[in-house]
Amino acid sequence: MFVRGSRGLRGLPDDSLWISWVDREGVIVSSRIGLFKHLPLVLVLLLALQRFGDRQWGNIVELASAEHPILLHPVTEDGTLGTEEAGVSFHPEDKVHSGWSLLGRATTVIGASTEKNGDDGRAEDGRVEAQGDEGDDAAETTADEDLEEPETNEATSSASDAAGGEGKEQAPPDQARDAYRKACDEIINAHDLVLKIYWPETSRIQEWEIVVHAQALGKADRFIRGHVPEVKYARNFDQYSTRYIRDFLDLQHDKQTGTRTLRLVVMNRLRPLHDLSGGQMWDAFWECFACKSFLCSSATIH
Amino acid sequence: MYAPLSNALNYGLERLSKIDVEGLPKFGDHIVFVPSDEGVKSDRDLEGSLFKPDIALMKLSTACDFRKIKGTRGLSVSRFVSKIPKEATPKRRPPKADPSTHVAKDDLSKNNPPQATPSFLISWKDILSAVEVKRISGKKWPKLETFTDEVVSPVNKDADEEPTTSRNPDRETPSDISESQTRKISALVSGRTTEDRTVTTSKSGKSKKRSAADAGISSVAQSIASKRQNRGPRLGYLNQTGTYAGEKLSDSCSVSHALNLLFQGESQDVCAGFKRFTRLAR
Repeated sequence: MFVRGSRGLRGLPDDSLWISWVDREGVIVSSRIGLFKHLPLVLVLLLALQRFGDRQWGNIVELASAEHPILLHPVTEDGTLGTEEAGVSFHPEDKVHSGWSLLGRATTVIGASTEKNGDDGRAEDGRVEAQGDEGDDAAETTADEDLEEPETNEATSSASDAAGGEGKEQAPPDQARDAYRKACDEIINAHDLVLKIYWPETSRIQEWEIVVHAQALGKADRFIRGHVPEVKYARNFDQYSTRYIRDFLDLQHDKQTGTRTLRLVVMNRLRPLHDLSGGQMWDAFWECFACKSFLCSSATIH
Repeated sequence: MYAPLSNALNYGLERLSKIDVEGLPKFGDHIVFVPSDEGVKSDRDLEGSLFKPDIALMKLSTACDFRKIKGTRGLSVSRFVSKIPKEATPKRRPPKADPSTHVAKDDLSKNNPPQATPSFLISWKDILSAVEVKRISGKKWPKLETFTDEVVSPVNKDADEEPTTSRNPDRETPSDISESQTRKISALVSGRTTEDRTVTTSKSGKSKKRSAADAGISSVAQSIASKRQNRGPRLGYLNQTGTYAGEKLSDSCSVSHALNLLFQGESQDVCAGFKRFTRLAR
């Protein structure tokens, strides 16, 4: 039919089709496909599209539904991933961080919890942000100690917002701050972990390796000790790597540079510092700055 | 307006579903192309963002929900197409006059079943692929610019006149396409001049769709756009599909990539040639 029809199709409008593929690494656009001139190709395209599964359409099935836990590998003490799997429940409605992102790492952080909540409630002790799990005898103060006497009224509005609206705009600062802290306590008690979803370049050092190295440095450095988060579970989902389509199309001669893959990392959840003010805020900020500065000077983290 | 194209594609999909190809997964669920100019809502934290693909590719069950068509079990694509409103179905015998004016208002009021009218905005999560349809205005057949990472050089207008002998990559044979199936461009996201990122408006200039400015893409004066009108499938056209991809990718951490289609038709009734194609197929 098409052979015979192709003669008759000469007079048809030369309508065209382009296919665009957009992922975290970049954009790929096909050459022009004439709807009539290349009609068999169009039909093959339709045939293939018709048989696409969720993954082919771009849906990450592991994250499509929060009803079932995702299986991640525990991070060992030497900074490697174990072979066993642990289920981690995640809660997309508990969004800690997200931003508009088309390309790049596209980092999103949401609340998470393990199926066994026995020993993971580290954040329940009320530590302020940037406080790690190690170095319990470090110089940092806990939130309970610090927050008893707020000095100024700064950050009240942000605290009210972050508390999910529980703190009214017209409410007294102390009341709003208490509401914020109460909301934080409830969230942390419910979801004591955070799940970081991002698309790092595969050529870069994996995050848990950096963290373990930083923790090792922190044993001898008081500015680092206690400020390094703990990576509990992680996994690379290489089946979603951006290299497959480029390898198939022979677009990426350098097999490493620029290739991104989906990586999930679970860390302990820290208390935010939005409700701090004055000297407390400055102390917390300085601790973060000093830790980061010393790690950078150690050529660990950039 | 997009019915000829979507119905022809649906026509092909329904028949292709009966084919088993070794190496490809077996056919599962029907997918359909649905004219969807009502808008698709974003699921971001803050409401208000809408994007409007001309045609949305979605599962048949989703499309039935979208069109409020009941009894979806066992429903075929052709049956679904027959249930959508008249203005979106192809005319078996289009009038000889201007095909763009063939829809009579009386038809809309009399023949539209109320249950087939979309009554809500679908979510992008329901959309498998967004399809953008562009109409070529002007007399000359447009030319595809060479997609490289470098700045696009001025287009040789004379090349448009010789479609069979041109070195224009736009005129590749199927074998050429298989050899160089794709080219990477970075211009959709960055790396182009402001002028190159211009989104050319439609001929009528009254499109209700999101403008380039809404999408964060720079636009230049109308006069510049009109001068570049005949240069072919614009990067701006591709930008339009790029905004759909951007919306989808930035909207969720559970999306790895977006696959969108851009159709470009010559006649005023976009891709009206498909009407003849469907008759040929019969």
